[in-house]
Amino acid sequence: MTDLAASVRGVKGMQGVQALQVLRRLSRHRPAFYSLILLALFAALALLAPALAALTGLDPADVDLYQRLAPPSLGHILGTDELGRDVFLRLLYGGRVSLTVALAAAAASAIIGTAIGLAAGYFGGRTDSLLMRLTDGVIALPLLPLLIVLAAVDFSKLGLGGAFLDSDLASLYRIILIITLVGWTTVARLVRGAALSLREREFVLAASAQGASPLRIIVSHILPNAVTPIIVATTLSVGNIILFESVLSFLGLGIQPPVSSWGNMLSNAQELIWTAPGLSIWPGMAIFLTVIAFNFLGDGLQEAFDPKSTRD
Amino acid sequence: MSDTALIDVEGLSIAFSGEDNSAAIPAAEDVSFSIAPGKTLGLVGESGCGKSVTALSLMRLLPPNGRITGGRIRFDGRETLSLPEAGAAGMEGLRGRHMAMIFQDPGSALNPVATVGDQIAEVFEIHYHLARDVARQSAVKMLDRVGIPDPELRARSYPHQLSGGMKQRAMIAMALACRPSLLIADEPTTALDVTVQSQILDLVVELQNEMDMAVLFISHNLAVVAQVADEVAVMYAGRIVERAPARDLFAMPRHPYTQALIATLPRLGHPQQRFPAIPGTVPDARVRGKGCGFAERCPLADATCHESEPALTADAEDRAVACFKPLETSALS
Repeated sequence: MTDLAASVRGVKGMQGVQALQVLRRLSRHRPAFYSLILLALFAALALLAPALAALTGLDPADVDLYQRLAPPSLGHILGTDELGRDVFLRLLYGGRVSLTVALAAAAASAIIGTAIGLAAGYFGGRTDSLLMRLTDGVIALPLLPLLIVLAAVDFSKLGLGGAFLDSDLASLYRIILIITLVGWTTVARLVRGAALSLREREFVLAASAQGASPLRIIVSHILPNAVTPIIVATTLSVGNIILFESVLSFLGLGIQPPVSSWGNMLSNAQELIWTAPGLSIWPGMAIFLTVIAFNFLGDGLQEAFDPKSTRD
Repeated sequence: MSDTALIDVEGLSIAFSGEDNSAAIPAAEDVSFSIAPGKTLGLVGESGCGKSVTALSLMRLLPPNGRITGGRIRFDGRETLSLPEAGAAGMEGLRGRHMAMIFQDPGSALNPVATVGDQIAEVFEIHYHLARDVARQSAVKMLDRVGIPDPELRARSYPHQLSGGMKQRAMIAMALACRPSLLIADEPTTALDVTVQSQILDLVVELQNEMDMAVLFISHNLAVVAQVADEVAVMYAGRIVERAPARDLFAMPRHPYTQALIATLPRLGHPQQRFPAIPGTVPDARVRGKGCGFAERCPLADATCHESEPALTADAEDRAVACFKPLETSALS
């Protein structure tokens, strides 16, 4: 295990110097740069949501039936929904949930998928068969029934009760866990493919000839060369996860009202699309912009990580 | 063989398993040689004759479907074929530290997404457990030693930012970082320009003298081998067919194949319409029958040559040939 620590330290050291360069390159990739600013803005707004709520004296859960479907005004800058709740605040609180779920699930999927893909691709043979059959198995699972079962698990009956699991956060963590459990397969298959071809490259043989252990080869030679598919798959998955969360919420398996998420705001707005189009436009725009920004960011990162890139 | 040899290979046989796991295809058979510290053995042969496979088996880095089926390798008093793979006492501790290898194409043997300095520093980290910044400084010194100008800057360069010659120098710096006692050079100059080629050869010889390294120099280029090797082993179809001190081999080849190889060398001042070539092709290892591997292409072959395989036998002091009808050389006593 000291070997693992050493390898990880090695990679960190290597990237410490290069991190600046990657950032500099990223800042020269215009779409990625603006996307980063947009995402930072969304994140900041989401983080500041409670402060904004306190400032305006509004509560996203406050129902005011006299003010149903109010148009935008100074008091409610994006108007109110069918229960008279402030749409802007709900959007910000929804952003907290949606962005957390998307980032956490995408990152967790990427980590699990990368580890499994690297092991399968590099070691090949029996390890590969085993891990890839596992992956195929997960892909072949009928997703919705599985999710319904997972979402229905009552932790208190498993003796896992407690203040944490009873809180609102429980459904958040549950949904991250569920999405991760089924989401890692894409990254795993892409990384396996990359590792399979990379391990045949001569620099891997050269690294073995320098006395590098398999673990070191995987961490400091295969992984850095497989960054591109990981980034592409992960940034693309962020969009999917936001949409997936909305599907789950729509089915009553995801984030439960009154807690808002972009997904459940969008599904709630369905019946009112003709009477109050704004209710679907705002969360829809938020999802659209976030997904597109992540895709641009992925593009930029991919280029920034490529040493042959001419942006320097 | 000799007691002073650094590496002693005896009867080494290597086979590759086919796709359907049926019969194993021999890639090298009964290969024996030894190299003393400070000496260079040139291993010569056509593509596919088993040179590289032999080299990789010394490092125990054969591809997964390749297997050493017989023989023994003694390196610095250790039987490497029975060493464990992992750990400082195993093969991982030998590779890069005591035996190192440089490859044909430095462009593909360097990791494209890591800086040259980091890749050299990694060797120090693996074997000396140096901290990264110390390892980095040692890497810069090493780059300086192999004659790379402005080593500080070059250490921060990526492989694609260097020329072919510089990449090969960097590769040599990486291989020799821990001052190994054996260097395996697998066609180190084949991918380079002729002018750069001789600079690289000079560098290898210079570092060899400085570090008293044994070198196994693999090449299909006889001219290059003549320049660096003390002793030459000629491989054909997986076997060593002739072994002799370099000077003697070129002056008086005894195996018909060696002679044919030397005859194919283009010579300055002898304009030719066509370069001489050896007729026929190397026999397919899968359908190889009995008899001498070269019999089909040999002008001197007779029934015996097609019937049985000649063994490598010493026919004079310090030279050996595997042929029933070795060429007569009056100079041999």
